[in-house]
Amino acid sequence: MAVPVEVQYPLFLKIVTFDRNFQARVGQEVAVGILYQSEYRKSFNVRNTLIDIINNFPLHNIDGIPIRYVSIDMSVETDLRAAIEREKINLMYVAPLRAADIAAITEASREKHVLTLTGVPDYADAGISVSIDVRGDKPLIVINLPEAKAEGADFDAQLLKLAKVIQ
Amino acid sequence: MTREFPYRENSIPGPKPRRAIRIRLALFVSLLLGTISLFIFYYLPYTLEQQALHAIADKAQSIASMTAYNISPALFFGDVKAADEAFHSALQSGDVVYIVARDESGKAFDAHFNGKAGEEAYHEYTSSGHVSADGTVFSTSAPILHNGKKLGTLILGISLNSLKKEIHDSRAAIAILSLVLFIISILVVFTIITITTKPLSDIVETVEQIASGDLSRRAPVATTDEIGHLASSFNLMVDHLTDAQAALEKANKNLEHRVEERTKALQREIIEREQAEEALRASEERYRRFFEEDLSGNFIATVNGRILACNSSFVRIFGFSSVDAVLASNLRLLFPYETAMDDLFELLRRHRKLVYHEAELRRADASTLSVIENVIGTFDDEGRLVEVEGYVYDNTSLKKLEDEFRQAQKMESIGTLAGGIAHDFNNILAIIVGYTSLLLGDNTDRGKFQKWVETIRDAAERGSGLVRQLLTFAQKDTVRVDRIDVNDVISDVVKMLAETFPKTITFETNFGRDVKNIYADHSQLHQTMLNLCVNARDAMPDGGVIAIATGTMEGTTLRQLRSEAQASQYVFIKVTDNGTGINETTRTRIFEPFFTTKERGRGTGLGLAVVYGVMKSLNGFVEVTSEVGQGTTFTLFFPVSEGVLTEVENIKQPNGKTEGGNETLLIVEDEEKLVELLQTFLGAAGYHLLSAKDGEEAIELYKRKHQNIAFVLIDVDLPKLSGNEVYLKMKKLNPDVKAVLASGNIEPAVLRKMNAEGICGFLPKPYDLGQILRKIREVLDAPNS
Repeated sequence: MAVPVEVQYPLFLKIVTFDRNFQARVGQEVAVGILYQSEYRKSFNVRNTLIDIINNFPLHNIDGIPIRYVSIDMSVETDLRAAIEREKINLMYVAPLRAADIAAITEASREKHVLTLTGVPDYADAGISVSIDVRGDKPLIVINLPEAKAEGADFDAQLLKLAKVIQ
Repeated sequence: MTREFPYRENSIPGPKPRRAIRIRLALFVSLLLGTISLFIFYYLPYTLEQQALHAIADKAQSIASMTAYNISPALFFGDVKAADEAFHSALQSGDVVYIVARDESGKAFDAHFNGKAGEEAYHEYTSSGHVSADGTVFSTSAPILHNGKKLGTLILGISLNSLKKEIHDSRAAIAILSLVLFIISILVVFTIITITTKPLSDIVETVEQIASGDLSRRAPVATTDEIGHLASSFNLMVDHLTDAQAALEKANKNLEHRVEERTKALQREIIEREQAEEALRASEERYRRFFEEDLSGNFIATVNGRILACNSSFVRIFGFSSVDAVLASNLRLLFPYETAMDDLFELLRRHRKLVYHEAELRRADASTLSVIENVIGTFDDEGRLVEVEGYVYDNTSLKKLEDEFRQAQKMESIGTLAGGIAHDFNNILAIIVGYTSLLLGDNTDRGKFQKWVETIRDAAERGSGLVRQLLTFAQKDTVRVDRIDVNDVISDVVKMLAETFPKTITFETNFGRDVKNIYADHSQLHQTMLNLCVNARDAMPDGGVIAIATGTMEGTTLRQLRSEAQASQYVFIKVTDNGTGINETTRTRIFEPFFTTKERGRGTGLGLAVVYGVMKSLNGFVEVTSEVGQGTTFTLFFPVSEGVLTEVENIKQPNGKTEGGNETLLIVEDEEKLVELLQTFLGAAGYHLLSAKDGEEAIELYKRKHQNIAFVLIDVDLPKLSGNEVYLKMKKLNPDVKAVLASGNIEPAVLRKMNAEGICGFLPKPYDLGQILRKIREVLDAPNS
């Protein structure tokens, strides 16, 4: 990952507010699914770090909507659509994965209108809607606009002006 | 008190002023204030409107630019909602009446209008800065850029209604303010002008009254400012004017009186001047006649000799045909030689004026003219002679008479000489002849040879002395002029005479202090003193006192006695005796040569003539005063430092025995007996003698034998060739020829010339034989022989 998780998390909290459909998507609760592989140490560490950050971050809501997180271990979970539905997930953070089928993940997210987020820049081209890369010494927001629209997001043009947009 | 000025009008001259200063000033100030008020009324709202319009334009541009920036991503991403949000922010400013975002094709992407006026204004929009036709909407535009690329244009209209209202309100307020200020200013200015010009009006009124003749009026002095000072000064001026008027009237009266008096005086002066001019004309006529008819020839000439004026006598004296002929000639032509005129002018430069100056001039036909002239020089500021004025008297006839008289005197003198001196010479010759007969006699007592020969020699020397005195009188003697202290000479003479004069004669001397030296021949001065003292002795047969005094006298003092005295100072010697004195008849003749009152045999009559001749040769004078029975005084005056040095011939006195020699000598002498004498004498001294009796023979002989001839004695007065010519010819034959001239009478100038030619010496005749021996050896033994 180009940007540490500690930096990624506040950015994602702000980015999602530029989605005009955010309120309709999350309803009464922001349910964040953390997709990781417990067998892959790097992925597991990212999942743990993120959880620590969420727990220790002073803000535990977005525009007044409380945040809840759910870890989804791709090492054991076989049916992602089922997990999304079961856990009522509306935002999904994708940790570094090894030998994972990203296309299959994005297909499920489009189907379930779950906005996907990741700290791995390479995953943006593979279909993850929002990712964090780095330009120079500053973080760069990368938005895969068709994938985001497919996942039901309507990002404000002001955000798009700041981000690197993949059309 | 009113005073009328008869020579002035009773009012101030010039046109009356059409407007008072106050009115003109008020009009000018009112016009100025009105202009300022109008300027404020029109220009200030206009300026405010323009400034507000600029502010609105800036504001509209700022809103448009900000909105264009905000809408840029919306237009790029086609996000109409985002565009609306951006428009919403712009519309927060209530003045925006419409806002439209166009894409690059000009199609409206999003738009918002506040009522119909906004739509109409948008449709009227043509370019940025446009104002709608009704002037209520100002439109502007801004490009919509994304990452430096233009996506479209944002057009925005803003309402001007609030601005118009503000301007309207401001203009009304300014109009009211301008009017109020104008009215107040006019009132203030009028008040100030009135206060300021009132004293001036008073002064003007006073001036008009004074101009009408009332000098008693004075301007009121109400303030201490410039106008007050003006009034004070004006009053002071009127005071002075009043005083001046009074003084002028008084002066006028005085002037009239003085003019009247002066007119009378001028009339008198004119009459006197006419009389003076008449007198001057008469005087000029007299002077002209005097000048023209003067006996003397008068002339004025420049230093170059150009004759500027002359009278008819000058024409007559110099034998010209007319005055014009004289003026065409030159003064220099009237002088006997080229530099004579310059010599005369040089003399004039020294004395500035020549009085009774004798000169020899030339007539126009070159004949000689003797004149006596007075010549006066005119000198410029630097002392240079510029003009000469002369008065010439033709003295030719008188001079001729004088010469004839002098010739007659000379003949008389010669007669006197024959009667006077012949006796002495006869005695001398008788002695010589007598003793010579004794020497030749058969019964000669040889023991007395020596004494008889000495007697013969003494007689011959006495004759020689007599001749020398004659030559001195004739001024042909060779003289040696030197600086002489007269006191020394007198001391010598007195010392010698005190021993030889009778003891009954005593000398008294009184030498003046600081007596300057004179130029004179020592022996001549000695002879002069000797002659005077001998005369004094002879005048005192019973003994007496001879007093001799010396001193200095200024030339100016002497000129009162002798007008021809030209030197600045004179040394005098006064010889006084208390003898028999000289009567008037004798005194007029005492300086005549050969005149004597002494018995025959005691005097030659040359003593005082020699004194006279010596003094004349030295440019001096001799004065004599005498009273019969009381004594006689002779005074000699010598010019100080103005004597003339003449050539010197030093005649050595015999000095011991002289040796002979064995050289060959040539004697050139026409006196046969003298040749025989010299042959005998010089042959006895060991010399070999050759002789020639004239010049030609001497030259022939010298040609043949000059190698053997060591010495030549040449008589000057020779037949055929003179002694001088003989010497010059011998010198050509032998440049080293050693010759001595001998003569009893040689001109000093001739002697000078021969000395210059290299003659070895001169022997005056009659010469002593021993003197000849010494001279021969002196020449032969000279270092270059």
